[in-house]
Amino acid sequence: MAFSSIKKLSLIILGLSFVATSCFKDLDTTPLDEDIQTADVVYNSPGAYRQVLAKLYAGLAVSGQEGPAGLPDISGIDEGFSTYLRQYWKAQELTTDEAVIAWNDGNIHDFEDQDWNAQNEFITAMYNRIYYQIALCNEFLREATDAKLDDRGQGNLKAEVATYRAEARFLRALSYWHALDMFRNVPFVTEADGVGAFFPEQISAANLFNFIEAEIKEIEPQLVAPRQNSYARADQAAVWMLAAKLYLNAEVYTGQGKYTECATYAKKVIDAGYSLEPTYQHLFLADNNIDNSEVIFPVAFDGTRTQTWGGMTFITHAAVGGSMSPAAFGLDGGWGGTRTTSAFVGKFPEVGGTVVAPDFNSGSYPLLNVPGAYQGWDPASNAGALASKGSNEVYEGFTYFAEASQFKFAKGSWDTNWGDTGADGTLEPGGENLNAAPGFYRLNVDLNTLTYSLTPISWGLIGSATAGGWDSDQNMTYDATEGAWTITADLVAGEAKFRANDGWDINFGDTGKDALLEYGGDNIVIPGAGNYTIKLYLNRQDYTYSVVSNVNDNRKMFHTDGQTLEITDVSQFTQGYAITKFKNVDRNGNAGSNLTFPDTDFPMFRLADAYLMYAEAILRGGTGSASEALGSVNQLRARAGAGTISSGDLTLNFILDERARELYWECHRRTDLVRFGQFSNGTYLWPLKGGSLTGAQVPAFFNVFPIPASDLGANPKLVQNPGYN
Amino acid sequence: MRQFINLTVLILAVVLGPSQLFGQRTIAGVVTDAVSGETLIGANILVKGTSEGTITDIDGSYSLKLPTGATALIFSYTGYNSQEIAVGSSDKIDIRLVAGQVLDEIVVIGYGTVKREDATGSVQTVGTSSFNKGALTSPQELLAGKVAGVSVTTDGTPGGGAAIRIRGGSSLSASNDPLFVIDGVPVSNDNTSGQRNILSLINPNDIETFTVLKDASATAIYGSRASNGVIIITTKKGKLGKKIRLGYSGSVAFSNPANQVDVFSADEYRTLINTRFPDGHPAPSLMGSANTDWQSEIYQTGIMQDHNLNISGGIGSFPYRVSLGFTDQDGILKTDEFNRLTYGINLTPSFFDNRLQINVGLKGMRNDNHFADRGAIGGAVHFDPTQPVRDPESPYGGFYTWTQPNGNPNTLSPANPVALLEMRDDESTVNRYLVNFSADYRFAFLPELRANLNLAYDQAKGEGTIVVPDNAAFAFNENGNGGVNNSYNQTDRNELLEFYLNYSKTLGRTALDLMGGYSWQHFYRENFDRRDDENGIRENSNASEFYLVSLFGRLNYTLYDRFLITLTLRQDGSSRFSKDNRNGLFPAAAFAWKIYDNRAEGSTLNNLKLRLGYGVTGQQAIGNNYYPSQALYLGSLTTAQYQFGNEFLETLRPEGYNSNLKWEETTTYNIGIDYTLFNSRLYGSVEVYQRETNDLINFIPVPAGTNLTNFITANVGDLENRGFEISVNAIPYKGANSEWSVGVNYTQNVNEITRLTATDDPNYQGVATGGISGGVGNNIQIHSVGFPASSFFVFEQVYDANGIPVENLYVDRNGDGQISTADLYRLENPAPDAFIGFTSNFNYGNFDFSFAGRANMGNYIYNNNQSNLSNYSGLYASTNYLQNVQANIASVDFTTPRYFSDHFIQNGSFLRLDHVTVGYNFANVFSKEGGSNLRVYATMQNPFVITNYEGLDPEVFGGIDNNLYPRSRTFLFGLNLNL
Repeated sequence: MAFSSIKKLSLIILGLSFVATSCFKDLDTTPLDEDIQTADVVYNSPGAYRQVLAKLYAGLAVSGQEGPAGLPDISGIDEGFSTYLRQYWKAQELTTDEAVIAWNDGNIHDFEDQDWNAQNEFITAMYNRIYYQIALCNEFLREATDAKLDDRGQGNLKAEVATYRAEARFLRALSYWHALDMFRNVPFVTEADGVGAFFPEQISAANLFNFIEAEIKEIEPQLVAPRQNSYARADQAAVWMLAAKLYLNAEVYTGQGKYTECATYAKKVIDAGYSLEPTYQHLFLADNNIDNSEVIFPVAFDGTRTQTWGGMTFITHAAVGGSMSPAAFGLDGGWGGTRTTSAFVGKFPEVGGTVVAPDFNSGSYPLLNVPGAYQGWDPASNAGALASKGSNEVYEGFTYFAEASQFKFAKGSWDTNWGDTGADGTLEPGGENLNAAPGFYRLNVDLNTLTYSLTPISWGLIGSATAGGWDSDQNMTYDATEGAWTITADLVAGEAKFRANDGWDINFGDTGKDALLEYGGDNIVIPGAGNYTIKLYLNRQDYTYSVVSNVNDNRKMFHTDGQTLEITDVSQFTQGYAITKFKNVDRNGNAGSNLTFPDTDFPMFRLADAYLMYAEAILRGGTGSASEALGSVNQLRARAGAGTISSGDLTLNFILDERARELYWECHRRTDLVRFGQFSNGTYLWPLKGGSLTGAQVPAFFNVFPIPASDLGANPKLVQNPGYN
Repeated sequence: MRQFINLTVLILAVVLGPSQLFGQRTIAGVVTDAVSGETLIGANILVKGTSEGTITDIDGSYSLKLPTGATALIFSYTGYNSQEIAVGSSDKIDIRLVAGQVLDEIVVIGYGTVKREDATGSVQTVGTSSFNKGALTSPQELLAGKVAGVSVTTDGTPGGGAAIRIRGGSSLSASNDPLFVIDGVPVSNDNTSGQRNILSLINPNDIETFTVLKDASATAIYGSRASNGVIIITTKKGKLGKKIRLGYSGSVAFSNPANQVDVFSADEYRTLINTRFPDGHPAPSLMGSANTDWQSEIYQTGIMQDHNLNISGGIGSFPYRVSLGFTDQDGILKTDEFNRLTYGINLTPSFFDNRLQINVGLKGMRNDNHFADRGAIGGAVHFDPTQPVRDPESPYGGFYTWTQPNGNPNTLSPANPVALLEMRDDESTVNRYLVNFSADYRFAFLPELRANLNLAYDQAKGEGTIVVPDNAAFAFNENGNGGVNNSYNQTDRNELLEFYLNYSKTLGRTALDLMGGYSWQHFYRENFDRRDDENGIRENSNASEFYLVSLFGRLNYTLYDRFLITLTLRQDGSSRFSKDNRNGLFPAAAFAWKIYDNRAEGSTLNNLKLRLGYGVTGQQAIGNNYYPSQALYLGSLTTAQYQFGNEFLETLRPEGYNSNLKWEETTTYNIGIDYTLFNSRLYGSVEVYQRETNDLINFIPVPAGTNLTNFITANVGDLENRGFEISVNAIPYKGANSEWSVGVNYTQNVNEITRLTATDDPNYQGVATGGISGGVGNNIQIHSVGFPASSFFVFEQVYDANGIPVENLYVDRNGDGQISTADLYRLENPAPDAFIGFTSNFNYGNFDFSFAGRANMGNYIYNNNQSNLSNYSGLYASTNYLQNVQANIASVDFTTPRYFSDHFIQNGSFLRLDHVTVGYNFANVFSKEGGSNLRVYATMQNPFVITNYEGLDPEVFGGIDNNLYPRSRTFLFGLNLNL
């Protein structure tokens, strides 16, 4: 028994020894998980190119491979914070007058205070996202070459993959532009560099500018024609937009203006077949991916399939708080974070601005009263009295009879009164009562000849400012309470007159712009497009009118209920007006597919920006059509109901403000303020700038973010941006 | 290697067969107690200079075949002084052993054993009698405070784990946990899902000894896993003897929270709200009319019962021990439950006159857990005390809930803590077993040579479910498909094959011991998780594995029985690293000098030994990433797709990787002195060490653009630990039937980061770490060069004349006229500067009394509960809910949270009495024969803590105090019965 045990043991050991000898080979492992593939295997599947390309785009939207959280792309910061768009938004908006945030997350308030340093984790995360995106693009460009396709026997994919490559280069150029814009002198890597331990060189702003410009020019012909690619993928118009943005800011980056180039590329976009979405708000709703004629390049989100705690989830939720109803935004709750400053609120005109104020203090003229049943037979009442402006006993006035009424004419008492005995059109002192059917009348009395006339009148507004032009008028209605004819209508910049009974026989204009009306007077000027309420006051001795602009620029989307305009404590959501621009509801008011994760896409580039860039480039000396520029800007203003402007109004400062009104919270503001010299060092102060409640200047070096300390520690070739050491 | 194996097999095949052919002279005799004359069963008889020997049988007699050249026999028995008897011509040697101090104890080291007096490394053993007492379900707790240089921080949960640090942490991003070797099997430190503690497998009652290997000369034999020290656990084995021994131990324990966070009571809170908020403010109207003490609502008296049964004995030469244990423990947090059944079998037969010793062990457990949501702990502190726990009108399970005007739960408001406990059903079941087989064979033709084979298979399978009904407010979804219904399972497998040869030869007072071996270990992990939520059912499964393949060897050389030299070398290969970097070589050397050795009765100085050690150990435990050096692509889940036109694509992501990743290396220098004084009534050691870790495996920023991630695990940075340890064991009093023994150990450790980046950028602040609650992404600690790891990084608070901190006023430390992050400074760190463990045992006849405790000095804590809660802005949230604040708010008087004020960095130094135990032993109650006894005892665990720290408990691993599971105060009653 003992011997056989030994034998068995020997056999066991013998067997084990064979296991043991092969054991050193065991150290060569490959992943067992099917979701993980080694780099040399993954591209054997033709679909992989498209899936990796999708990751390059998704890099702008989501935080990792799991959605909404898990398997994050970058580390060192909370995953929800780590998305490209969320960081880009914070860097471009919280640093400006357009946004503040309530939360106490890390050093987030450095943004509002403009006192960040190289340790700021949000700036670091933005930088890391940019370079993550660049590294992904480089990896794709290394793996998707024609040579490698041939090696893998996938030559048939070459044409399709060539487009993918151009898109990858576009995305890389986009991120390099962000790097240039925010960090200026940055490390430079291309697909020629591999993955691994090396120290990238720092590239100068001028050279990086040249690189991006060259890339744009090379990929331009390789990309799909405008509006021809699948939704959310880049086409030629996307790269033109990038070019326009690069050139518009070229002077900031390199000291050399490139405004003609900017105008050229903006014009390409303008002529590419895009059109303004008729309703501004629709650009920012859950269904903004559907039939969108304006957006050129979106970052796409989806409530069920593209989930993240950053991106639009952040932009929509953070803006809701206080007395706002989350349900109205298609959300399950607000995060009570982001609002705006009073400086930005001030970019919009007040509601209901008066264009022409009525003149109720006209002179006094001899009066002829019109006592009657309609006013209680009071011969002393001046209501409805007629005036003799020439003091020549020839009287005229407008009287409204609410119901059929008898009346007479009298001079202050029954001692002198006139009626028309026999209804023969001739007045007799103490004559019989006159009769009027209900309505509005012009009364003319000539006591010299004892004749009178009673003309029923209805008023209309006509002119180039009105929808009917000079051909047909817009009927006004009589407001008995106010004693005025009124009309509320959308007008455009132009001229108008009042006319009676759809004809020119009786019409009023305003000669001398004194708010007093004259028969056949000069046309009344309507200064800009917008909604107006116009009132015609004829129940007095001098006829007057008012023009009130109801201009409520419909881009001005504030929630003010329960919010204060000014901010003394940034951590209180109820301080500062809330902004209701982005919502997870569709244009019919229905909530998106998921109340936590919005369907709303982010408009990274849209036509309105091209219009404004074109106008600005020309104002800055670029070659182009000034009238077209004005027309484009006025298109935006018309859509907003904000009233159009004249060429004299189209100044650079106007452009800066107009960009704020049109493009706020769309990640343009920091770049714009820097370009206008108003960001850190400029004279423009807004609440919280520089850490002061009233705003304070900070040194100009804050126009560029610091190279994060983490990268300076990792890469000895980098030199910090000036001012941060 | 292949040749080596083949050669081994050849040798084995040759030697095993003819082994019985040799014949020798036989010596026999009886071993008895010198005083009583009773025979001693199971006494050891060893042929001097060899490992050959036998043990006495039930009659105390033995019989031993003497190898040629044998000069003497060494007789030893637990609790008795050993005796050495020269072999004369007689074939019969009877011996009477004298009871005495056990100094000749055998110490388990890696791949072998060594006599304590011959140990060259820093090795310390803790046996059953020294273990901590109380309601201890985790093996780690037995060890707390017992060994100099070893800190154990338990987590307070039933069956919970504990963080063990041996001589400080040697790593920043890789693991700082020691390697556990259970009966010769190195186990994985990666916990299996659903398992609370990596050592749950072992019933504390089955543990015989912990042996802590502290310095590199002792640990280097475990090479790449030894940087953080090694803890070898041996379990109890059967003993020879015909008689079956039956043991039962049982206890019942009652636990209550020792402390609560002091917050405003409902009435105080009403006053506070009405005072702080003007008329018309929404806050007062939000208050309810209840008076709820939320902390009382979430805690309970935790009851534990523990039963253990063991049967041991021997059938012929076949010792066995079978044990069965059952533990049922309720946490003090309601719904927290731990339920464990353990079983163990140890068979230790010997064959061929003990030349072949087999050890077969099976350890297993089934562990059922219910996890309470620990968010309730912090939640109970915050929740508005004027609101009721339950609200009959509430559609959310009948629990009071903060709602929006439309009746939906307020998504930002805190969840009702009781609802969090009662509506979240988080359960797991873990089945784990570890089988090991070892065979140790002494060659008949060459008795100096031994071959040892060790095989083991360790499998843990954890599975669990998390279910929250859809009417739970904290999992609400407006679409009606809220709730949680997730499940997961994970299987971990660890297979081990080890083989070594040991050659041992003594020539007079010179001895040589040479060992060489091979080790192969495979770690495999399989995950599955299933989530069923508003996005539908999503399942995900994956598997991963890694291998460690090693060669190792050790040389022990003893000169004149006075100078001892140990040389160790291990080569480890890890599949985690690329081919070029995967092999690491870990050498160690130790020298010991027995300066003085005199065991004569009455001498003042008995022993003095100097030890010098040097060694390099490695680290490769970088969590669950088993493929960090390979270029891989990872697919996305359906919730992270991207839209291309009308189609949504699952994306493919290239993963970051580091093909240059390699071992982290720690070089340790150790100087130690072991001493024994006053007739062995005072003994201990003094040690000084320095540990330098180079090529830290560090999760660091990559140069931007150079990798497919922004952070990567790479070998960058250096770190140092320097320390000093003293242990003193004494028997101050010894009477006829009474004895008082005490043990004290003292440790001082300084940790310093010496390099962190690839470049020496003087402006580089360091790596932020230590996430806190409050805001998102706020870190309170930093790893910086020249400072201890995880130093707190804060603003220096300015105080007013009354000592109240002035809100938002900090010292402008850099004098630039403004307060910015440039004014942050590094202040203290969570690790104690020094710590002490102490134990006292007193026996008087059958009565025993013992206590043990610990003290930490200079451990600092970020009081996150206070920083987050002691401010007024937390009272009312603009989304319309209220929260409670701490009662001491007036002493801070902040309006908004000032997380980075150094006011919240507080000294956590403490003195804690871990337990006080009294017992009485009814000896021989069941039979007149010796050996049976009944002991009853009572233990009070955690009776007091002396500290100035204002938070719940000053023992906070990592130094950030939030949602800390409060350590309970426990009363335990138990009995041990041996038949």
